[in-house]
Amino acid sequence: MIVVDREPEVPRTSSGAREPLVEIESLVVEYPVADGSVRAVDAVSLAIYPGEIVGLAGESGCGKSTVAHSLLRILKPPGNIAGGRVLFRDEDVLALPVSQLHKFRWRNVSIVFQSAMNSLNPVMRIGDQFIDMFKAHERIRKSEAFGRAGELMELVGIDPARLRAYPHELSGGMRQRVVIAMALALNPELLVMDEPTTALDVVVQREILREIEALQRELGFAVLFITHDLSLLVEFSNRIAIMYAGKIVELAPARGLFERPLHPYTVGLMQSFPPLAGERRRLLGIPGSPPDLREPPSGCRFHPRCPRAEKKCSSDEPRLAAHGTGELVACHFPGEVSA
Amino acid sequence: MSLEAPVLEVRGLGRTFDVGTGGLGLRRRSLTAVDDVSFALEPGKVTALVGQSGSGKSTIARLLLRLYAPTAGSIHLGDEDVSRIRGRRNVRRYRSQVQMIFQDPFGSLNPVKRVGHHIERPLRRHKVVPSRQVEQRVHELLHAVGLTPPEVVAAKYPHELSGGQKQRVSIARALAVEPKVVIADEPVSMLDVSIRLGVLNLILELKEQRNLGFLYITHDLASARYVADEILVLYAGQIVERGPTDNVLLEPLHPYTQLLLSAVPNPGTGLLTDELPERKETVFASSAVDACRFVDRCPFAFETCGSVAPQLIGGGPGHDVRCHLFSQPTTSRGTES
Repeated sequence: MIVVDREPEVPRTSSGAREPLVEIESLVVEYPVADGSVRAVDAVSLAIYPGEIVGLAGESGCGKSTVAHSLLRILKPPGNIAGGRVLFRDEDVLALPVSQLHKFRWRNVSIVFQSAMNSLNPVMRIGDQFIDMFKAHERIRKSEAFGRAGELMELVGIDPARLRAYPHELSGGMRQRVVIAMALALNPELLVMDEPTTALDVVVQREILREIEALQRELGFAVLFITHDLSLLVEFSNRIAIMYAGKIVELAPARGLFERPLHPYTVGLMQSFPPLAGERRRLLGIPGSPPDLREPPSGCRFHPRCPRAEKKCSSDEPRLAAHGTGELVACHFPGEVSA
Repeated sequence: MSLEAPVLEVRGLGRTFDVGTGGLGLRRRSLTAVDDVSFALEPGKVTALVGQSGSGKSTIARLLLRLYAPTAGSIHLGDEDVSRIRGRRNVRRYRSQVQMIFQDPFGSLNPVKRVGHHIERPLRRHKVVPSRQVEQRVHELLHAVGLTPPEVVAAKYPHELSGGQKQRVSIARALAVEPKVVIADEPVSMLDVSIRLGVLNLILELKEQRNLGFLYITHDLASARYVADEILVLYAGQIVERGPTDNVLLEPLHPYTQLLLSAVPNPGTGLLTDELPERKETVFASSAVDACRFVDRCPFAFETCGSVAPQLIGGGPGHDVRCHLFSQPTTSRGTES
């Protein structure tokens, strides 16, 4: 088993401590099906350090959201965690009694979903929703809660007067900011964002990402950012983990991953985004489609789609192992391909 | 531009919707979703219609399909004005020449019918080939969109296919009636990243092989650049810039096009440090009658922009822009002389 304990390339906190905030160790998540079970997440290990932004990228069904949901223990049945550990500052999250989970979520880790802007109550003013949230977590006077809600609104760039508004009176981007403000209300150390901007326009997306980045610098929380948009992650995160068919296939500092992708799947993903500048040429993307996890391919799960595949790839499963400095890759033939 | 006659031409197209019924003491208002839109689709070419959600791009698709009737302007298919056609037979004939590919391949196929059925139906309904040739034609079409072996795929149900394969079925269905024009509304935005390119490449092959006029509607500038020969940029229901793809994307003239381009994630040019102009809230389209619709968000806006609606004017070879910065030669960007 490989425990990932590499340092982020550019640690953003000044604290000398290099203890990980969160350690996911060999996490296995299964969904029962008619004849047996499907492993949606298969032995995933990932560490998140205080104050860093970790990107988790992959296509739909690769297990990236399942990892995040397991981390917060909000996995919906019939999905169940069949193995592994999740440590938050040495505390086993998977063993936390339900009574403490309430505190763990929001105070230690909070999450913003893709359609979070639709998770606001449509018949309740924004301010009242903040007050409800504060009251659920601490003894606080209404007026004080309202004041803190105002500060949070300012933090995400919305006029506190809008606390009197109903959700439908705000644009999608503003509602998403309100949800981000709520997620930050109790100063969590980790903010999980599951495709938080996918439903928004690019211009709004960029504004929100810049805001998260500024807040992250100011408040020092760590971010686990989940998306299928690799080019966004390269801009935004310190380290990136690429998932394919339930496994992490590559984990590297963002710049390094962009400049020197090692896994052929990462290479294929990068070449799947047509460029906005430079020569216009025919791109090939990745042939085939992601595997059915009920019958995952033997050996390396990517081998049926891989241009580098050889005999070994269909029989031996490659392990996630160090390659060069600071990069981990699960491939028998890692390295750059000549274009 | 090319000498070929356009297959479909749109002149001054407009559509206004009534919002609010006027009842209960509410004010009756109207919303102009599409305003003064003109363009031409040429055979063998892809035109991309690019805009953000709410810009009116899907309304244009519906107008072209005659799902809505236009409230202004006209649509011409070849020499015929089709904007006022009536009657089932005429509309059916029109739709046999203008076909649509929808965004959601999961919702546009009937889950209880086999793949073959979806392609067979338009073949029979529009009597494209004699009955005994239908099956053979279904197989040819499936083969053409890369679904092989066709006999096997035709017998499958939609749930047995991946998203990319379903979208290929939608494309085969659209091609079945041998249309002159295909309109694709965000055909890849719901597909996985790794299979989007396959569908985009298929679009490129088909427009060449079949000499189709192709309207590719999207919010994604990068995919528009990949498939399109010409780009139309839509903002608040109006075309604000149009021209050959690389002219528009490499030398954008309109401040909105520049804003869009600067917002696209681009790992090649570093982190989120570049400055974007200060954002202002979008104006409700119907309130901006005598002004540029972009005026409130425009970093270069000057007095005229708030009082005179700009017209689409030439900004280069085949390159048009709807912006006052280019209508006054004495005025340089953002500063009045």
